[in-house]
Amino acid sequence: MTGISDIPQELIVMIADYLSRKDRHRLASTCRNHYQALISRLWKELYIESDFPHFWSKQHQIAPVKPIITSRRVEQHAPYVHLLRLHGPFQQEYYALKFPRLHTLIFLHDFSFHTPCNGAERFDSTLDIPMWHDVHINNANLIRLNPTIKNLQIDLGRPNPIPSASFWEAISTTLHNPSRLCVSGFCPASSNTLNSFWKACNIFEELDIKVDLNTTELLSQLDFPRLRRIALNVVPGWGGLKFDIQEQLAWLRRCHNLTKLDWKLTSHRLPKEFMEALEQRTWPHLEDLSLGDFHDSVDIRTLSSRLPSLRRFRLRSDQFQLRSDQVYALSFTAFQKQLFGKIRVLDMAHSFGFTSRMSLGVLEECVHLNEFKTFVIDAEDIDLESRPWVCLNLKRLEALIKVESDESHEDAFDALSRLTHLEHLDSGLDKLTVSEIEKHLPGENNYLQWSLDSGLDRLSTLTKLRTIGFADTDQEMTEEELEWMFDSWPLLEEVKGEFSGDDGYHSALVDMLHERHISHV
Amino acid sequence: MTVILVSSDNQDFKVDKEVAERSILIKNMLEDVGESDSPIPLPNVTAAVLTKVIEYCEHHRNDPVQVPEETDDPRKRSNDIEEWDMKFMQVDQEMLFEIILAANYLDIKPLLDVGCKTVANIIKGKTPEEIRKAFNIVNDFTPEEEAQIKKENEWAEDR
Repeated sequence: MTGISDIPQELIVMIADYLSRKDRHRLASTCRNHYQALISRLWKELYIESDFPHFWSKQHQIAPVKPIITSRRVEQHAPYVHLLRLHGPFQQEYYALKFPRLHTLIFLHDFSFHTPCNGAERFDSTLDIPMWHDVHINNANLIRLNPTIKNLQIDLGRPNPIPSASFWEAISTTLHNPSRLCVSGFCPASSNTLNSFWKACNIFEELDIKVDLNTTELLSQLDFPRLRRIALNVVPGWGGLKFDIQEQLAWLRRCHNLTKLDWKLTSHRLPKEFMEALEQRTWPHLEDLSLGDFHDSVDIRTLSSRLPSLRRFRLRSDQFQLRSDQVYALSFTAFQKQLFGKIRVLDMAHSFGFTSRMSLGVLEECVHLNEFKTFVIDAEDIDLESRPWVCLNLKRLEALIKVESDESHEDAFDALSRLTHLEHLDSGLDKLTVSEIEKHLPGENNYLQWSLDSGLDRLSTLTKLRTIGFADTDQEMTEEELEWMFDSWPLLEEVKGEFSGDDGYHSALVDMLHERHISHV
Repeated sequence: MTVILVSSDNQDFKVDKEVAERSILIKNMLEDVGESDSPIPLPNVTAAVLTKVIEYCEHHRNDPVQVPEETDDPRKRSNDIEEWDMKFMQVDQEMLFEIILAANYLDIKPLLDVGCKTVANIIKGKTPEEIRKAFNIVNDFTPEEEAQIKKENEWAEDR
């Protein structure tokens, strides 16, 4: 009789690729044939936690977590490993392993790990100092053994030991084909270490830096020719910001090949030199721009008239405001002209000056839009006859939807029903803080009601919907709505929000979700 | 234009060329053979299975040729089987695997995908013992091996 044991191993792999990681492991553990078939999938990504004692403080013990994977076992499967994450400092032998196909290495350190002290119930923190010193030497050795690494991620909790110059040198000198470097959580101190750090950064195509940094003279001599994408978030340290905004900008201006810039200004003003840089077409290949945490009332007209034609644009600032109503029309036109041509991802969710009319303007004009996050849409402003929505490729929409009447409810659902490729729809209020709500949405507001009475059934066209959200918007949904959703949205996998003010009723509906393996947040 | 397909148990099936060519194997064979009318033998597929396969190809005869979808999400989903296909796959396990093997041999990718998704859906959420029971799998691990793998599974779940 033909059964699962008759099908060739490559088909087992094909089936397993439709399973979650957990289910894949379970399938692999049914018999030797399946284990062999899936061995490359099982060991492709390896996440190991150290067996060193794991205590946060002498008062808060965490039971030591033993490694489930010994170094011997890792070594046996090293040829399959493409991604390795090491959580904590490890025994020496782990750092002597070679992984011929390793492309991603992640070091995750935090101070909850301590040197093993045999027999003692509590850790001895004086022994930790040499341990932390050794960690980066060990890390450097591991890197030297694995030149195939393309992506390197180093996450350190503060306060923490600083990777020395030789660690950074190992990176600069070993990697054959460096792609991405992600560092967070530490503050290089000596200029020697910093120079090595900058030299290491210089070899990558992508940098993701969230560090309390200083700059050195060497930085102004390095060209960063390979750098295409950067996420820069210089965190102020004890003494404030050592690598100040102007110096950051000066560096960025020398990286001419950037296609992606994600710059967090940690509550500083957006320098006017940035506008100048845009005007001078400093980054001619820029496609993806994200500016965050800046403290300024940015003149959108100036900014947008200088933007290159972007595919993704994200602006996040409390202070983003228009100067005056008169400027509004001109500003928005400039915005339109520069951005609407190619834009695929637009995130204005925390730009409270971006009005409902502007949001609708986006929906009415941006044909290529895939993702749109904005602050609010007022259903009263929707007019599908004269201004239909053209963003028919939209896959993700997040916006508060204010609705005052039955008619505007119909309009809202009607408009949404056109977005047949939508996979994620979130009209919840949970993304805003209490103070933001008080400031920007004062008084009583009525939001889109996800109910069949209001016109929810028009969304039966959204057959690709996978996640939905309506948190904090006073819904009163029933079993009927849920049954309808299960029928109409077969791909639904996550729901975010309260179904009803009545806790008991809400729990009952959540149970209905869980029965169908739909998660609730 | 019609072609004749012959199952392993010597049954003839007269099928439109367009339908038969949903199988890339048959399509290639027809291109090689050219104008000839001779029947195509399929020694790996019995009549019962071939009937089902032809039924699938008939229903999907006008489907566009599958192009690999460009998605940002590499995770493959098994919960998007269309209703007709779902009913089509409501067969006993033996037939299910026969269809998968036939789709693999005949190179009919959409049918192979549906078959794999169907099996994946049976596996989802089950413990190893439940999976063994569902498919009559014999556990050939030693107790030590099994314990080791179970430990490693826990690591996988802790991600």
